[in-house]
Amino acid sequence: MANSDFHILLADDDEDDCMFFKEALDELSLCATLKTVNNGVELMDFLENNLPNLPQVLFLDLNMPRKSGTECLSEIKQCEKFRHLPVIIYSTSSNIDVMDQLYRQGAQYYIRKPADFSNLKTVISRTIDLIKQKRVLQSSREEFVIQP
Amino acid sequence: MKLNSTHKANNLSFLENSGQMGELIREMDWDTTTLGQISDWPVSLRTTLAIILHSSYPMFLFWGDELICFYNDAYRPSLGIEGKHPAIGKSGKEVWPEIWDYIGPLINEVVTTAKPVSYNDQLVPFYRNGSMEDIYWTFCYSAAFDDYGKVNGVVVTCTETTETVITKKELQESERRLRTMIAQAPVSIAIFQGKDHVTELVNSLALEMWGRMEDEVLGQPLLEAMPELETQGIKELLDEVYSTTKTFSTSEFPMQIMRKGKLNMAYLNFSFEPLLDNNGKIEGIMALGIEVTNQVISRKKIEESEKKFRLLADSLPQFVWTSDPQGNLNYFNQSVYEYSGLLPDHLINKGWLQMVHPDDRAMNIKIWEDSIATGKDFLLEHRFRRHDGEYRWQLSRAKPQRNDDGIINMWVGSSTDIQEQKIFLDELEKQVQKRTAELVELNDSLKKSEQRYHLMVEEVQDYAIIYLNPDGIVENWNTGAEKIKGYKAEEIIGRDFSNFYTEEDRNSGLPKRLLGLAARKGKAVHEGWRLRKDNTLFWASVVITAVHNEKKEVIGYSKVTHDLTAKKEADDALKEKKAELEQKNIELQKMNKELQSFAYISSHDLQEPLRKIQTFASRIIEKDQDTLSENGKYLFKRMQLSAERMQSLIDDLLAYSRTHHLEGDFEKINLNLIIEQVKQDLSEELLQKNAIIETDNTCIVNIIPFQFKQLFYNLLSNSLKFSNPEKPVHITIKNEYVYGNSLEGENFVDDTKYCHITFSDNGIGFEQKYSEKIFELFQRLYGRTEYPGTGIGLAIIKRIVENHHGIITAQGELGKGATFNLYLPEED
Repeated sequence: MANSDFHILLADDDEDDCMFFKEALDELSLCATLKTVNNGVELMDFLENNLPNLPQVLFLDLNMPRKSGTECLSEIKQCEKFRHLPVIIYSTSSNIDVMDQLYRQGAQYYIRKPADFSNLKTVISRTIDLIKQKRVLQSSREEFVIQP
Repeated sequence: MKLNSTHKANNLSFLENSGQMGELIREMDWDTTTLGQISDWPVSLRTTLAIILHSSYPMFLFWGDELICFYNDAYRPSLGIEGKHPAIGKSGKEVWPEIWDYIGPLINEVVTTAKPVSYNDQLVPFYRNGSMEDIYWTFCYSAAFDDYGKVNGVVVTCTETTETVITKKELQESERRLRTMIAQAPVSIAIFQGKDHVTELVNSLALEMWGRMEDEVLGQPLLEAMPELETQGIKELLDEVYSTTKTFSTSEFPMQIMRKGKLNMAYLNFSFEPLLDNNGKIEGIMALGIEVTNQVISRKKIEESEKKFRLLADSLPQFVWTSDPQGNLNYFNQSVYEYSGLLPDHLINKGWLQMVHPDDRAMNIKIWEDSIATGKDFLLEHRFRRHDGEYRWQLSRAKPQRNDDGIINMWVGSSTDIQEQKIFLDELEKQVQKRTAELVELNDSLKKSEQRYHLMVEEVQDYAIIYLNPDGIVENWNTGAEKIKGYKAEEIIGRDFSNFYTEEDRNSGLPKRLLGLAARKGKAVHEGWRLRKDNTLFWASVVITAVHNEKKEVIGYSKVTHDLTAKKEADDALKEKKAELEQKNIELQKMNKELQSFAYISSHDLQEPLRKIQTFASRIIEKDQDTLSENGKYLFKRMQLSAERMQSLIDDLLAYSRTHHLEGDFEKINLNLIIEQVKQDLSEELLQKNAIIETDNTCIVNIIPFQFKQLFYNLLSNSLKFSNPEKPVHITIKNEYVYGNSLEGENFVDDTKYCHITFSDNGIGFEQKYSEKIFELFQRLYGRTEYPGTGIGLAIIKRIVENHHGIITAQGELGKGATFNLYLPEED
């Protein structure tokens, strides 16, 4: 992976979703590389092994085997080494309480997995733009959910 | 003059006019003596004799070797009446044999030395007046010379001083006796001389009184010896006596005297007597004194103690009085005077009797006289008149005070006001009498009542009333017992009450336990199955009460049994029903929960595959647009719409299932705030339909904000969806407070205050008959193609309102609009 590229890490156990994400990213033709891990344990191992060259952003599914996305987020945000890594929640859920909880835990943005592929492209593109622009670790609550 | 003239004719002329002694000499026959005839006597003798005989001073002459004695008239008395006289012409030794040893040597000395020898007041006792006498002399022995100048005799010039000496001796003795007397006197005596009051004499008592030694005061002015007296007026007193010569005397004169280095207060009785000389002129002062310090102090102590007693007695509210041994009252404390308003003179002796109530006087006098006669304590209740005329009861006591010999000195008495107690006692006695009478009456009525009670107990039919002895043996049996348990009185009296219990209860010791409980706690209550005589069971409610005697000992038990079989059966049936219902309820709740979690999980989990279908579909349309036939495209579109519908169905179901939970806490919040948020969320749609939302003054309501946001979202969405396409949407939201009693409908609580929210629109409305149906899940009034929707929105609204214990109703008119009324109860 070239250093100039934008490194994206996706943690999702769903093969289809991983495929959609990769296709969407390819079609966006950004200078970005994607690495995919399929569960929470794998994610944390990967992060540990790639210090200090962490990816620029993590898209994190919530419903994963072995270690849930919520657990991973909490570990990342409580660990000095990973804290600065922007975490974008990438989930099917639209439960407001869950969103509030994740916001409090320090997630950067929240993406509800769209049904429409073009919408998926839109939110990924918008999110990466936001991450590139902004160096602050958390958006305001109103801007937390990225709409297509 | 010729010295040796021997003219015999004239040689007796020296005897002329020479007194009786001269006569004696002349008449004496001298021839027989060694001197020979007078005419032959030498001139020197004659001359000497002439001098002696003519002297009025007593003189005596011893002459010649034999010391012939001559003396003159003046000397004669000294020889007494009977004695040596006449001794003239006799030799000295012959005349003074008894004192010759004394005078012989003196004469010899004078003759030898020619020098005179003299003595004053010399005791020379000799014989006269018939006995030896102590005689005092003042005398001089001087030489007498003969014609040749040779000492030939001794002239004695003498005076008898016996009387003077004796007087002087007596004087001295008298003074010695005086001094002894003064020294030994039982009073202090001192004599001060002169105007400076120099202490000339002081006896030991006086020294003791002054606290001084004799050498410290004797010969000293008093004030110098005792400087502490200077400011105490003593010198002034002495001066006064000295100048006026008048006696001063005083008693208990207080004086500070330095004794043993300390200034002591002394009290003295003393007098100053002037001492006058023969001319009445003052010489000095005699002080006579007695110290009475101890007496004064002890008297003062007694006075003090007396004063204290009076003070004490006067401060007592009780009456205190004293009497002499004869019974005459002689002291009353202040309380007596204050109470009676009488004066000391009125009360003294028998005067106090006027205080005593006339009816009590005779008794009072008798008892008092008895006490005086016998010496026994006086004790009496009697009435005293107060100054305002009221008589009050008093309890009087007096005790005799005896001296060490047991003789009564005085009586001390006191009287205490017992009016209140007396009245109380009288009242008490009356009360007791009254109570006694009442009790007698009560007893009578009790007896009657007991008879009635027995009859009543006998006749009670619904309750078995049984009396048990302490061992649980039946002693009494009423009609009710017979009816309930089946035994006749004669069948059961004398048998153990455990017969009424089931075998199981008897074996477990229940009858005994119940009796024990009643004995300990007073009462035992029990419900359970009991046996009738015919061995059928009945459900009994039993109360066993312990019956106690006055000593709190259990003497038996009353046992009241009620047959509750019917009630028991009804209760049991009810309980069964209740348990059944509870069970059903639990099952329902469980089912409901399962349903909820199913709805939530399924809707959530259903979304994923659905979403993927949609995404795959969108991929196909996007990528393979060109390869699809027109029909394929149409069918594909229909598939997508179905997926979308399913999507919204799932979303709504999810929202609906979520309203089961009381998500978030209740909050007091302004309703307008919620409405504004919803308006914000729906701003696009509102704009699109030119909607106007009118809200009036706001309500602060206690709600779960999240759910109410959902509620208004659904209401507004509904209004927008079912709007009249020819009119801009106009929505009115009003609220007001109302009480339950002003509202129609059985679900309103009268006293509760409700926040009534009215939500009206001008949409297509609905027919009133559907006003309840529209709130049911999945109920729709229009086809999906006309108005899309899942039929869940209003069900969610109703559920939310119910979550808030509120009520929602709907009113509609087709083509005119719909109105929703929400009633939210005000929480306390």
